[in-house]
Parts: sequence; C-alpha cells; structure tokens
Amino acid sequence: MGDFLSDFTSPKLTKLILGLIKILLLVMAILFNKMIFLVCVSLLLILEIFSLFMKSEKRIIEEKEEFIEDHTPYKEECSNLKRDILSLQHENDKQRDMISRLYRSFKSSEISLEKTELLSRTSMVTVQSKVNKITDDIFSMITGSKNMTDDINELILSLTHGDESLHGVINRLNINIDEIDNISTKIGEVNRVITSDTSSVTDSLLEIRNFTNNILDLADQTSVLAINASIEAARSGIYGKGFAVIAGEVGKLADNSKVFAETINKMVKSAYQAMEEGLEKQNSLLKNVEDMLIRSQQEVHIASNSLLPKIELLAESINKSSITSSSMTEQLNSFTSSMQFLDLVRQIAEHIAIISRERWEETSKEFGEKTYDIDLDSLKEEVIREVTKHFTTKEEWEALGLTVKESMSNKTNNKDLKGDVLLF
Amino acid sequence: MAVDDSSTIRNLIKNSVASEGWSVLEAEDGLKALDLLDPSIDIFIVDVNMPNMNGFEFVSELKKQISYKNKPVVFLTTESSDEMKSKGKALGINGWIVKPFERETLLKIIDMLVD
Repeated sequence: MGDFLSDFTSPKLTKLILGLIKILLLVMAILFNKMIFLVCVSLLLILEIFSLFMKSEKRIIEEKEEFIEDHTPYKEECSNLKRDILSLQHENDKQRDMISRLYRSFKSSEISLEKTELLSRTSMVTVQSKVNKITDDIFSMITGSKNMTDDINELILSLTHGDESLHGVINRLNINIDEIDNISTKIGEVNRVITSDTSSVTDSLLEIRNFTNNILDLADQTSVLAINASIEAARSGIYGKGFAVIAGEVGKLADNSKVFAETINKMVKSAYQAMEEGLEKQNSLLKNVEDMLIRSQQEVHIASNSLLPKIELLAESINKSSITSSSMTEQLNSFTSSMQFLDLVRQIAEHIAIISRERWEETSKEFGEKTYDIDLDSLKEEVIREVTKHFTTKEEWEALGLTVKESMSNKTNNKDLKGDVLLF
Repeated sequence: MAVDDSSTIRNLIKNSVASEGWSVLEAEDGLKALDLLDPSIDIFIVDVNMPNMNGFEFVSELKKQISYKNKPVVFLTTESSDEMKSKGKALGINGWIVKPFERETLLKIIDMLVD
C-alpha cells in the first residue's frame, strides 16, 4: 500500500498516511469487533500484495527499459552480426555449391582421364604392333632385295668377266664359225671329189649301157640267127630236128639275154638317175649349208657388235648396283632410327599418363571421402556421351568396349574390292 | 639376348642382326632374362629402365654366375648421363649405346665384342 501511495505522493506523506490508516484501523477494530478488523487486515494484505505485484511489474518494465537503454548499442551489434552471419551463410552456401560443382567437374575429368588413358593405351599397343609388322616387312623386303641385287651382280659379273662371260661366248662362237667355215670348205672339196667320182661312175654306167646296147644288138642278131637256123633245120627235115632244138634254145638264150640286157639297161638308167638326183640334192644341201654358215657368220657378227656395248653397260651397272646397295644400307639405318623414335613417343605418352594419374590422385585426396551428392552413374554416361561425340573411327569405340556404330562397320557394295569401300 | 621392355626395340635388334646370321633370344625385363639364360648366348644387349628388374640389377645378378661372368654386355638405353655410364662401367659392362641406335653401329660392336 505504501508503494501504491508512493506512486502518487512523496515518501514522507506516504508514511504518514499509512500510519494514520493503521491507527484508524486499530481504533475501528477496538471500537467495532475483530471480524471487521480481520476483514480490514485482509483488505490491507490484499492491497499490499497487489501493490507488490504492481511494483514488481513496474520494476521489471523499468529494468527492461533500463536494459534496453543500456543494451541498444549491443542490439545494433547483434543486428550487424546477424546480418554478417546470414551473409556468411549465404557465402558458405555459394562456396559449397561451387565445391560441389568443382567436385562434379573433377569427377567428370577423372572419368574422361580414364577413358583417354584407355584410348592412349590401346592406340599405343596398336602402334607398337603395326610398327613391329612394318619393321619385319621392311627388313624382309630389303634383305630380299639385297639378296636379289647380289645375285644379279653375280650374274652380271659372270656375264661380263671370265671365260663364261658373253665376251668369251661370242669369241668362242666366232672361233666356232671360223672352224665351221673351214669344215665347209673341206666339205666343198669333198663334194668336188664326190662329184668327180660320181662323174666317173656315171661314165661307167654309160659304158655299161653301151655294152648292154651291144648285147641287145647281139641278142637281136642271135634271134635272127636262131630263126634262120630253125628254118634251115626245118628244111633239113628229120636230120635237122636236133639242129632245130638247138636253134630254138639259142633263140631262147638270145631272148633271155635281151631281157637281161634290157633289165640291166633299166637298172643302169635308174642308177644313173638316182646318182644324178643324189648329186643334185647333195649340191643343193651343201649350198644351203654354205649359205647358212655365211648367214650365221654375219648374224654372229651383227649380234656381237650389238651385244658388246650392252655388255659394257652391264659392267657399268655393277657399279651402280653397289651404290644402290650402299644407299639401301643407309636407308635401313635411317629406318631403324626412325622406328625407335616412335617407341620414344610411346614411352613419353606412358610417362605423361603416369604423371597425370599421380597428380590426379593427389587432387582426389583433397576432396576426401565426400561425394557431394553427385550421381556418378549418370555423370559417367554424360562424360561418355561427350567423349564419344569426337570419335570418327570404329577403333575408338572398340578401345572403350562400346558397341561400334552400324555406320562405321566395314562394308562394301562391290565384291571385287577389299576393305570398307562404297561406290556411288 | 635382347633384354628390353619395348617389343619394338627387341624386334629392331632381331631384324638388324638376323641378316648377319645371328639368332636372338628376347626378354622383356631382367627377371625374364634370368629365366631364359643359356650358355650359347654370345652377347647381351640390355636396356636400363625396365619394370620388375632393371638393367643394372640384371647385370649384377648375371655377373654372379660363373658361366656368364665374362660374357660381353652392352647397355642400349635412352640414358646418357656420365654418372649412369660410370655406374655401368663399374658393374663391368662392355659398352653403352644411347638410343636411337644405328644398325651398322650395333653390328660393328657385336663383331668387336664377340670372339
């Protein structure tokens, strides 16, 4: 009650009023009865309690206002801090988002790296295999070529030097032609001797024919004689029979002689003809042989004249072939070096892959085990799509174990042409 | 014997010497080479940088075996530092060829080192 009154009066006056009220109540209690006194005391207590409640409320409000007044600068600070925190949170979200995107990009690059490593490895294996094949083929070709060149050189050498060379052969041919010429001359002589002998034989045959002609004449005469004898024998009658027989026999003998003589004549004639023909043929043959020999001599002469410069050229080609052989050896050396540079490139590519992988693994550690909510499967598919859009050959698809596009498979519309060929 | 992890190099060595009548045993590293050792081998052409067992380790093991101790060994490698060459010489090798090699050079060295 005191506090209640003190809101409206000064403290001294409040005390005075309270004192007066207490005295009044006491007097009333004494004057009237205890019930009223109790009621009044209760009223006083209620007033007191209400007063205390109001006081505390008032104090709280005052304290609050004091607090607020005292802490207004802090409030501003708090506001600022709150703003800063919100801002930082926002930044954090942005950075988190950026890290997430970085991680996604990192994983995407990691998948790309895997694929390119695979492509690189496959292509290196293929290159190595093809290089080995080329090496084998080139060495085989050059060795074969060198052997052939050596054989040709040997042949040329044999053709141009020594007894069995073309020179030698031509010389021997010429010698042989000369010898044959001599033989031909001798044959001519022999032919002349034969002709002369044949002529003698012919003469003898002619003589034999004359003799047989004489024999024929004799035979004719004998026949006539035989006939006359037969006539005389017939005239003689019986005494002439023996004579007639003898005449008949003589006549027969004459006839036989005639036949033999005619036969001999025919034989002589045919012998003569045969000899004439034979002689003619022999002469003709010998003439041919002579002509052939002359022609052969001329041809050998012409051939040797045309061959000799060619033989000289062949001899020169040995020198050129030696130069070519040296050149081939140098080219082989150069080829051997070049193939090794390909291998060097392969090694460097391998080192690049190893270095990239190591750096990648280091970077991967920075991200730790977190996955930043990335769907790796769909990311892989996306990366493969991006990577394969650059592919132009079926080997690239095969290197990644992917199905080759139908459009890339080998086909041809002409069975005579091998390989992937289309004619439009 | 040609010891190199590159099949290209082994193939080149084989083709280079075949025309002169040599036959070549091939190994892709030192370990495989040790497995394939044969007393008929006349000379070893060895790379330095190989997986599993490098050239130095291989030669070191080779020299421990009496049958191969005196066989000529030539390193054929991309390494060219003096330090490496000294190390090889100390190991007892007979020659050092820096890649890329020329066929003629290889043949001459083989002729010089093989009895």
